[in-house]
Parts: sequence; C-alpha cells; structure tokens
Amino acid sequence: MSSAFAIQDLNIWFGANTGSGRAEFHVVKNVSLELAPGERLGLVGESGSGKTTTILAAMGLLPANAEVSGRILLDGTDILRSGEASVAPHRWKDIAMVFQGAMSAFNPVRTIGWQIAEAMQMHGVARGVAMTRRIGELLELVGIPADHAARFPHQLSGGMRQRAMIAMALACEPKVLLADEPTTALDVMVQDQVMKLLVRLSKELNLALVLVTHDLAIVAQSCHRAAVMLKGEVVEQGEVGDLYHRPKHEYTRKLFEATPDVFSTPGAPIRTSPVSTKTEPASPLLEVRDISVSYPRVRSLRDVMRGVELDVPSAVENVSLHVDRGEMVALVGQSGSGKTTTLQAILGMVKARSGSIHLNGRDVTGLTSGQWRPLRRQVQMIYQDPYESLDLRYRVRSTVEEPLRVHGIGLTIKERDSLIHAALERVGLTPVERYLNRFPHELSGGQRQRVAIASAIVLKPELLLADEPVSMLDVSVRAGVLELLDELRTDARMGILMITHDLSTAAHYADRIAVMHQGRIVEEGPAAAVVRSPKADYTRALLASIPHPDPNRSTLADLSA
Amino acid sequence: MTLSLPGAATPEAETRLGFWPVLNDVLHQPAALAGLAIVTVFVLLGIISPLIEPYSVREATCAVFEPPSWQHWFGCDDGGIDVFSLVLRGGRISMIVGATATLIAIGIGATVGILSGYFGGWVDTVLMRITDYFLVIPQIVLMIVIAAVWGPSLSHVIIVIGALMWTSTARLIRAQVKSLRERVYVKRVEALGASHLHIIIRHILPQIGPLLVANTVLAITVAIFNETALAFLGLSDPTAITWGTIMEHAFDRAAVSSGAWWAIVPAGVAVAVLIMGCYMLGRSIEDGLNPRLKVSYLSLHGWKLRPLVGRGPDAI
Repeated sequence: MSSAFAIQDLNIWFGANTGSGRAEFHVVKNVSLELAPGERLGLVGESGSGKTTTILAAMGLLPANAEVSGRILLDGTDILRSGEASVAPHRWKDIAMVFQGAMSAFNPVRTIGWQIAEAMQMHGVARGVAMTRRIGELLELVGIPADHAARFPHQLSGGMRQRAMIAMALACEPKVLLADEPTTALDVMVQDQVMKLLVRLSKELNLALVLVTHDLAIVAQSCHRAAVMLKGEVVEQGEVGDLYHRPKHEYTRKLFEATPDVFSTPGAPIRTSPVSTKTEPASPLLEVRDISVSYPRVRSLRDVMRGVELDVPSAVENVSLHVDRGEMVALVGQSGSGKTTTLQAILGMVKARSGSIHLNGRDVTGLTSGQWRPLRRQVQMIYQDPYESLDLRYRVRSTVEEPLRVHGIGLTIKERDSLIHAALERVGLTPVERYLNRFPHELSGGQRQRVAIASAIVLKPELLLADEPVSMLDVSVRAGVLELLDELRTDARMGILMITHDLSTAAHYADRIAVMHQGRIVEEGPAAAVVRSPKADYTRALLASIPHPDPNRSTLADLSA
Repeated sequence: MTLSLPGAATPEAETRLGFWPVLNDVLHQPAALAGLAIVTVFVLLGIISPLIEPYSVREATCAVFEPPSWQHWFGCDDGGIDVFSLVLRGGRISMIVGATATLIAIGIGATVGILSGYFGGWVDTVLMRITDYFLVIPQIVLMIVIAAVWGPSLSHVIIVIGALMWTSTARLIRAQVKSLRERVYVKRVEALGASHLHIIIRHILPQIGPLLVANTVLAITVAIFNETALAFLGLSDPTAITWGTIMEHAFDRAAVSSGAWWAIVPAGVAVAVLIMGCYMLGRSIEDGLNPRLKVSYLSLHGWKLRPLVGRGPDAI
C-alpha cells in the first residue's frame, strides 16, 4: 500500500512569553499517521489534545510562536524539509483544508463563486470561461446548484456554507483533504448530510481524508481507521471496528463509554417513568401554558406615523410544558428552534407575548424585574459554556458566595461558609478546601460547570433550568455532570428543565422529552416512548441522522450503493 | 478563529486577566518603565519645586534675556527671572491643572459610559445625544467666550477642559460595557437575582478598571497639552505660572526675535517629555489589556523548523 500522505514523528512546541521569561509547551509529541489514497482517518481527541495543531502543521499554518520538527510526506516527498518555503507550493494544491467555522472562513463581502475562483487563480489552475465552468462543477459536486455561485455567504444556510467550504477546498484537485471539526457547529441532520458528502467525495475522487473531531460516533460511521490523541500523543490507532470492540488503551475505552448511544441495546435502562406523583401537591412546579414569544423589531418612524404594525415572526409559538418536582424534562431541537427563547421566557428575561407561566402555582408571566428578584431563589439557571458563565476574576468561594450575598442569606461568615461547603460537596468538588481559593482558569471545563451548578444550588432552588449544560464539555466529563443533575433531581427533588440538541443525552437522563421544531413542540412524551416509537416525522428524521458509535451499524454505509 | 486556537491553548493567555495581573504584566515592558520613570520624576520635581528652586520666580535675579550660564542653567526671561525656576514652578501648576481636569473628564465619562452601556434603550439614546452635542463644541472658541465673560482664570481652564474631554471616554466605556453586558456571567448574576448596582460595582467596574487607568493616563497628556495651548493663547490666568504662560510671555515679549530661544524652549521640551512619558505608559497599559496584539497577527516571521539533529525527545 503506497501512502498518499504521512506524518512522521511530528513534534510541535509553542513558545510563550511569560512575565519573567520564556516558557515552552510541547503540544504535539511524536505523532505518526499514514493514509492511503481514498482512505479516511479520524483524528479523535478532546480539546487541547493537539489534533487541530497537528493538521495545521501539515498545512504550514501554525502561528509564529510555533516550532516544528518531524516529516510530513506527500507522495513520498517531505514537504516540511525547508519549512514554509517547501510547504507553500503544496498548500491547497495538494493538501486542502475544511475549516471549522464556515461563517468565519468566508469573506462576507464576496460571493461564494468569487472566493472559489480566488483559490484557482492563485494556483493558476484555471481561468476565464473554463474557470466559471469549473466553479459550477465544483458546486454541483457538493450538492449546491451551480447558479448559487453568485450568492454571498450570508445567503446560504449553515450546511450549504460548509458544502461551499468543501467545494473551495476541492478547487485545486488536492489529493489530501484535512477537515477540522467540519460539522461541530451544525445540527445533527445537517451534520449527517455533510458527513455523507465527505465520504462520497473521498470515494469518488480517491481523496485521503483526515477528519479531526471529538465525536467518536462520526468517526465510527465515516472513517476506515481512527487515531486517538491524548495530551499531544497518539495513544491508539487502528481500524474503527477494532477500536470500538477491542479498545486497547484505557482512554479509548473511556471515550466510547462516554459517547451516549440513543439506540442502546433493548435491555439498557432507558429511564422509565418517575416516582409516582400521588404524594406531590396538586399544582406542578412549573406550568407553561401556550406561550408565544416574538422579538420585536424597531418600527421605523414612517411605520409609527402610518400606524403600521409590523408582522413579527414568533420565535416561540403556543408552547406548553410542565415540570414536576423531582422530574427532568428535556427540550430537544435544532438551533433556532426556540428552545433557548422558551427558557428565557420562563426565567422572565424576555416577555411572553401571550400565554401564561405559573411557578409553584403563582403566575409569574408579567412580573417586572424588581418583582422577580425575590423569586429568583426558586428558579436557577445553568448555562451552556462554563468558560463564559463564570467571572474569571472571582475565586470559587466568591462565585458560590455571591448568590448568598445577593439574597442576604446567612448573616455570619461561618453560616455562609457552611452553605458554600455543602454546595461544593454536593457537586462533587471535594475536598472542598482544595477548590475554594481557585480561580476559574485553574479548573477544568467539567469542574467549572460544577462550580456554576454549585452557585445555582446554593440557593436551594426548586427548579433548575439547564441550557445545553454539557455541550461545551469534553465527552469524558459529560456523563459526570449529567449524573450530578440526575442526583439533584432524585435527592433534592429539584425539577429540571434541560435544553439539549442531543437526543441520546435526553433519552438517557430525562423522564420526559419534548421535541421542538420551528418554535413549536411537535412531540412530547416519556423519554423511552419518544425515542423508541416516535410519532412525529421530525422526531423520526432527527433519530435517523444520529451517528452510531458502532461502525457495523452504519447509517452512512448505504451510500456506497 | 481556528488559527488562534494554539496560541490560546497556552495557560497564561488566560491568567492575564483582572486589574493587578494586567498592571504587573505592563510593568515588565521597557516602554512602560521608561514612561513611569519620566512621569515619576516630573511629579516629584513638581511636588518639591518650591524647595529646590534656585531663584525667586517673582523677582528679577539677572539681566533681561541673559543667556544660559552656570549660575542660570536655562538663562533668564524678559523680566530677568531665572527660567529654570520658572519651568520647575510651571510644571507644578500645569500638572495640577492637567490632573484635575482629567479626573473631572474621566469621572463624567465613566459615569455616562457605564449608565449608557449598561441600561441601553432610552437612557443610552439620551446620554449619547448629549455626548454628541459636547463632542462638537470647539474648545478654543468656548474658552474664548468664557474668558471674555467671566475673565481668564485657572479654574475656568480646568472646567472647560474637563467638561469637553469626557466624550471620548464615555463612548469608549459605553462600547466596553455594552459587550460586557451581553457576557454570560453577567446574565447569570442577573438571573441569580442581583441588583443592577451590585452587577455594576462587582462585575462591570473591575473589568473596565484597567481600561480606565489607561484612559486616564492618556487623557492627562491631552489635558496638559490643552492647558498649555489655552495658556499660550492668553486664555488662562495671566498671573499663574504654567508652562503655557511661560511660553506665552516669552513669545509676547519678542524672545524669538531677540534670539533668546532659552526663554521658550525649556518649557516646550518639558511639555513634550511629560506628554511622551504619559503616552508611553498609557499605551503600554492599553497593549497589556489587549494581549491579542502580541500574537502572530502582526508578526512578520512564520513558524520555525526545529532540527532534531543531536536531540531526541529526551533532550527536550
């Protein structure tokens, strides 16, 4: 087997000027990979494992503070031999890359066609009429109508943009395609389509494809082999089937275990209906009835004078939900389906246009922010990104203490301290003393999310709203945070309303699932029922597009036909 | 974007946050140290100037326009007064005027900026229209009017500079606060039930603190410069000794035509050096606040190859 592309003994260091001297970080250690033409390799690892840095080195796109050693072989020649000078001629022509954020990788003021043409002109691949024809071909190849070349990036949907990005990468007929998290920002259904496209292209064009991702299921479904990276090293490499069935390295096994599987074997305990609700008080903890929310646009002066009412589209339409004590409800849907807006309305951060929200039997629909303030103790929110939701200048102690101060709970330092300790212990940051005086940047993502949860539960709320609480976390720590929420549900009898785009997570942890699509709830029911026998078409489509971590149960394989 | 990821992965990119770490970082730059040294020297000289002035600043101690000599380092002015003593005394008042005017400007600017950026909506609209209005008032013209109506005086200079200089600070702070307002942690604290005052004092102010410091230092340069300019035009208190009035007097009394450059140059150089010092310090703080300026975007050289000859992984 001749290799199309190989990385041998790649080492990368980043230098950084600290206040007093120069520090060095060895971020990629002795990485070796090899790909045959038409072969697809998944490079899997958690954030900071060095996977993106590895492929950026192959493109010669590392920042100036990087030092590289090792060899990168393209058809047997070492393109790293003379540094930038020897990489540059191959960049885009032989090795092309699909970037993560399709929106930021395009220039917003130029048409898609112009930007694809730019790459071709740069390398003198085609010109004039031939080039226009080639652009059309490329777009058709990735499933975009040829006349869309005249469109601007913002006129395309997220999935289309990613396709256009792929078309751009293919412009100079490269032999190797490096894809850096090509679907991370996309919804499951779009992700499915983009991955199918990449697999098809790699087959048709005999492309060697390196797919960088943190999602094992995607790799299992689309790649032949996978390399697992941990702290800059490749700890295991092999056929995806082998990795799934017979992982050798502890870390690989952990990763597969942590990947939620919505289709888990029939016997697996998908949560059945919760404890009987007979002993509960009659009114549910949270009852949302038919709320609609629309974001008002500012009327122009002319409209105001004419008395024209703007026809505002609703972000949320007639949504009804209820959450009981000790129950976890998952609100599932794609981005833009109105999940977050619903949560914001429940929290009183945006005004509902119609409908009512009852909390513990009390109508909270039209309360002003001043009236809300004492009620905030009862409803607490957990945010998506723990890197964003903590004030980086606050130590853990101050972060957790802040809600107590705000609500004037605990008169003495001692009293507050014991509450802080209890909350931190509850979220599993033990021994507490070790964490109290740390700053957020001294904590891992999972620990930060636990701090955020601690500062929410220190008030002993009855209802927790969680907005994608694990989507920004690495796969291996997700389960821990979700288990914690589950414990809060059972032990402290908190009601939890969790937003997620991930049906597998919802199926594993929630009692009930509500599927949201375009501002409406299309299906609601017990978790098991929604996943096993979906009624709505949309739910079925959503389920069909979830990649399976077992490579043998391929959902993508059927396209070879 | 993706390319910035490796840089961000280094730990200290995150530790450089908050007030003291930033200042600590700033003080390791040569430009900041030089600026700080200049400012410190000027402030010290200003404070002790009455004690170290070699001659009186009110009475003649030498001949008219006597050139520099060992007795009179900077020579003498038209009234036979020692220029070195004048410059020392003038710096004292110039700096007091500059600092006071700056404090007024930063105070108004920060308040308007924070209120405007934090509350948005009609508060923002009203305050920003007021800011726009102040932005277009020409300083010199207003000063001439005030000097004509109330008579020239130092306090009028301070008020005019302070009242006209806050607009840029207000706009800058407003933009910062507006983006901080959308940060998730501010939203989280709001959802905790915290009052606006709590959020502004505990979360917003500390974040814009270093920016305010940088802005203050930079504003002082403008204030001193403006004070000098207004005094040179004769719009300041003619009896006060400032760098501006020293130059104005010398200019008025034909120091230039009689070749007595020493009557004008020392005060001018003092203004220039102090402004340069403040500027170096202020810019260093600004750069320290924006570590992105340091990474690869502006760098001319690319990544480097590290030869592995003679050093394996163990040698690292």
